[in-house]
Amino acid sequence: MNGQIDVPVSREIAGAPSTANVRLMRDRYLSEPLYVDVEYIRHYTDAHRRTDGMNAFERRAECHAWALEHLTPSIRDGEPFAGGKTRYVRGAIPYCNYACGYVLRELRHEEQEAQDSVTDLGTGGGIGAGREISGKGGYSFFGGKFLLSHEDRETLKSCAEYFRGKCMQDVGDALWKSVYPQASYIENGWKAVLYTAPHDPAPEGRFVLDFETALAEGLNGVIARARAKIAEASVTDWESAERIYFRRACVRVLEATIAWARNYAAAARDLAAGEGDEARKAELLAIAERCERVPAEPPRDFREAIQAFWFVYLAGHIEGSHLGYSPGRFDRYMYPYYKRDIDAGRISNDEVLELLEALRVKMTEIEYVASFSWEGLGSGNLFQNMMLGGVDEHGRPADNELSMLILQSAINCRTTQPTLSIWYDDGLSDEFLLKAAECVKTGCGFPAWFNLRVFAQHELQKSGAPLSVIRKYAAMGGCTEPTLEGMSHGIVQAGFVNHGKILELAMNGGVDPRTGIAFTATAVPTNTDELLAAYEVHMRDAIGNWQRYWNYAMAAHRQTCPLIFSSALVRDCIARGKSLDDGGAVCNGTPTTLSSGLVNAVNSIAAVRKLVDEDRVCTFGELRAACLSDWEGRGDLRRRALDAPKWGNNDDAADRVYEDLFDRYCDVVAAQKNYLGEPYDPSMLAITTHTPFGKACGATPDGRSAGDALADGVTSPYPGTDVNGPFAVLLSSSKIDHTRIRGGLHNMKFHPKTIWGVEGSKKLLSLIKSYFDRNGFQLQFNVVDGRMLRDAQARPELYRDLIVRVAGFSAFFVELGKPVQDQIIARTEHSL
Amino acid sequence: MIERAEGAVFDIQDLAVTDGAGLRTVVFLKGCPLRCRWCANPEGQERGRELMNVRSTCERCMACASVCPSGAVSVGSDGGPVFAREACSRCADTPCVARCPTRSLRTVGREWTADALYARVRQNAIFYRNSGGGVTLSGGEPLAQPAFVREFLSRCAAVGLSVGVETCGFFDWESVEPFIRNIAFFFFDVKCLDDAVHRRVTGQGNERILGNLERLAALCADRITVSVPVIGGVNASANFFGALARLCARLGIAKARLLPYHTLGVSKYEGLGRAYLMPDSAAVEPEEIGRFAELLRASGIECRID
Repeated sequence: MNGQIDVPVSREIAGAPSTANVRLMRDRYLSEPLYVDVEYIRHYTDAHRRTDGMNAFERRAECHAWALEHLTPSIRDGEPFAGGKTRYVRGAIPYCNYACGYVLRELRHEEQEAQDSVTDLGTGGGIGAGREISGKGGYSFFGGKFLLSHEDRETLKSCAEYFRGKCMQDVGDALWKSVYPQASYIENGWKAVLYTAPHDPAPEGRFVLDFETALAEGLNGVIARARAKIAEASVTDWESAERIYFRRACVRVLEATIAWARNYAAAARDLAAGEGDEARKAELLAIAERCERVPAEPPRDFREAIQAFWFVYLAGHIEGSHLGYSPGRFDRYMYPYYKRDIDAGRISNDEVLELLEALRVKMTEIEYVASFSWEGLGSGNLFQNMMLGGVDEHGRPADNELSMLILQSAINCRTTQPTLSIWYDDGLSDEFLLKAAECVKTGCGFPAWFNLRVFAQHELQKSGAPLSVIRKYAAMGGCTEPTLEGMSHGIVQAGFVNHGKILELAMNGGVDPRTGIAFTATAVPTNTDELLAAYEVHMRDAIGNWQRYWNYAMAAHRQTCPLIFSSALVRDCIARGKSLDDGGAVCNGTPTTLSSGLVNAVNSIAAVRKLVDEDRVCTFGELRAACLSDWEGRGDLRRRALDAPKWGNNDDAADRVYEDLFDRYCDVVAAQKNYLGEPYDPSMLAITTHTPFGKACGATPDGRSAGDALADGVTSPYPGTDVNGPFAVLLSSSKIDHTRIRGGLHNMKFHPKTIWGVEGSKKLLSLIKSYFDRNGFQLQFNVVDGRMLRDAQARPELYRDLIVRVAGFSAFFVELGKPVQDQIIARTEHSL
Repeated sequence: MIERAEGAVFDIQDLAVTDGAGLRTVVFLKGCPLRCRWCANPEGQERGRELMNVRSTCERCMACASVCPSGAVSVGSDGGPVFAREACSRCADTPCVARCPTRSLRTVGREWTADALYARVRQNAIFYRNSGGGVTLSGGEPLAQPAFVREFLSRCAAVGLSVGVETCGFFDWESVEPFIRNIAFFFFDVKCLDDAVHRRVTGQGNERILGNLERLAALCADRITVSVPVIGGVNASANFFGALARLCARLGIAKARLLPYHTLGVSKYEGLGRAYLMPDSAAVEPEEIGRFAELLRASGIECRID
């Protein structure tokens, strides 16, 4: 409260695209509206119609391959390499093969209403541009923010109708809704907002392909491996037959991927023929030559390596609506190509920087469209996470010149994706760490910082993988969930469980006060111990039932949408002859359970202990009644609730409750197995679920009012309750055993002045190191002052490229819904 | 003589940035012999506990008035509470504060033993250790509570924890001198070199302050940073900064920091029921402050603007 700065201060670091080409690409992205592109799904559906009766792997391969081969290649001015997911700068594919119901509902405008009830979209940027265009005719709106031409609308409708009863969601629903004993619990859970909406439209991601091998062997090399396996196999039983089918499917898809790249070569030649500018003409011919060679053959230089990476990476993105699908340890596997060219004088650092900046724009261009109640939660982000730094297999620091250039590219070219993350190790160089801090100071919200030691300990316990493998391949599959690059299963249990609702069920005998829906019956508690016991029952049932439900959904995934391309490029699927859906990956323990709002449950239980058990200022019944009436006439009690111990103050009275609930949570999650027979691996993250979850929850004993958002992040305190400052927050957060979970995140917000200059950067680094010394796992920072954000709310047009950290990802502030914007502003701003 | 080492503290802030090297915790001690008109921490001036009402969050429910045993709270012209501070009987349990539903009304100031304060800050040891940081005692005037400070410093010195002090310079040399060796650095205020002006704007003359500065510089000039709040009409002149540069040169002080005047503390005056007397003309243009800094730098003084 002393000397609190509340005047707008410009950020210390502000970069700009380093070349005219990148500026062109970025400005084009910033002004383009979003489109739904039906081209892929139209061809996919055509192929599906004619492949009835084919083996499931081969049919899936044929449909994807056919669609891929028929995509229209678009190469735009300024692009130094080729490839796009759709024909549009910002285009999304509606994957009717995963889920057609939401598409049909949206076409009938029902989905929009459902979305409006739970999420909010921003009005600025590309969303605003789309609204302008739709007003001019020829297009309608899809999902509140995507443009859909009238012609494409009919195509989409016919695809969606075709997939009725055939898509993954319908096949799954037909199974679990009829035979799963807890089916009504799940459906009630959706009605009561105990869970996020079904996420069949985008069930995958959270993995990293084996880019190292894909580049080193070329896809032709991978095809040759698969063919060799087919040649040496003979059918002795059903499994050996499935192995052949699977490997043939891989070959089909990989060959189609090569053909798709060569379509770009042809398109580049066509463009070159009509290009008047000699320099661009030469560049287009060079692009054509590269697209001819890669990804079929190993790249011969850095430019080919970038083109090869992009094709391989993008092809994975086209196979399904992946969330969390990530490039992994880019600065490790791309370094040899970089180093060879730099040493030979074939490329300059400036040229590399331009390619990296262009890559940022290209990765940001990828959009996805899903059922909107879900999509709104991610605020449109795909959670692509590029890891930097870390250590090599021997434990030596692994940052290099390329890591520095990647950070510089993010400083220069402000786009939301990919998000950057640092695997922190004390041995990383000062130059690298300071450059990373500099990037934080642009206010873009990344890099986020992860404690490699904590993940290594988790993975040693979890998978037992050799330490050298963990060190070398530790990556991030999504915003904050670590994975082993190129060898892990990516189908995640991505539902979020609402701890605020679990608390309400525990307080009210298992009945949701808002809807009156009865879940598991428990006695209405009279004290803290009884409340905790009830909490555990509801947590066990909410999570356990959901995990089991998801296994049914996975069974449908395996039948309808098994991943073929991704399987071909994850070890050891081809060698084992098994897809990811059949356990072909080396590590199958990545599926996680996610949760949101635990901090409110912790604070509430701590408040009950203080008010009911210790100070005896009220009975539990009185407190419960006050919550049900949203504190009406009980301002006195609310005041005492607010004064009760709160998480984030290094106060054991609240922190022990967190430790206790956290351990129970981990036990409950790990008590069940995933579809592949591995125990579920607990994870905690919130993305923006805390806002819709909070909307559905009444007042809670921590003093929170009905409908207010829950606490964001995992260990971040509830806004306004961390009165002992940031050190206490981090000390609280470090009390839980972070090695028990795969992922977790902690938001901090700084005023730009707080970390000004090299001195300020060093302080930031000391803070990170200190937290990690205490075995904290993750830290991320918003460097922005509240005045600027409020101004951006009022005048979005002036802040088109203002990027903020939302949860495990960054977003353009003006494209976020107002409640999420408000949350970000409300996060405690730690400043001098 | 054994003194009861208990001190009044009105705030503790972590991650202070401009109050010394590394990650630091600033402890604000309550009570100050000066009454600088521009003071941004008016709640640090009085030694005793005070009521403060944050007007912006007060919902004017008047719950405070309904529980006051002395009838010291009345309804003001805006419908919010007005506190007759002389009528307040200073209840130990402050029912008015306890009843405030929005926590707008609070008491400022708490008594700490040196042990308790040390226990509070030692929890942050990992942050200090990794950053070369520590604790900075500020205020109010920390050296107005020498016994408390001395005891706290001796706890910290035992584990090598760096403690710096921000002082207005108006303290009793005899009681402070014995523990100067335990203070890692000083931010020492020099506000005005003209005794009459100084007396007019701070309530005290500057003779003792300058005397203390001289004595301190003789012991440890290298640990002193001269700290100047730049205030229009008080010291915002090339004359003053020229004289300051000469003073520093004579005393062997090589570091200075300039603190631009700001009005962020104004609402606190309102919350304390006091009037804010500074004229608007006190603000100084950043360019001018930059010129003052350059003037000091030209004399070989390392100068920063916070």
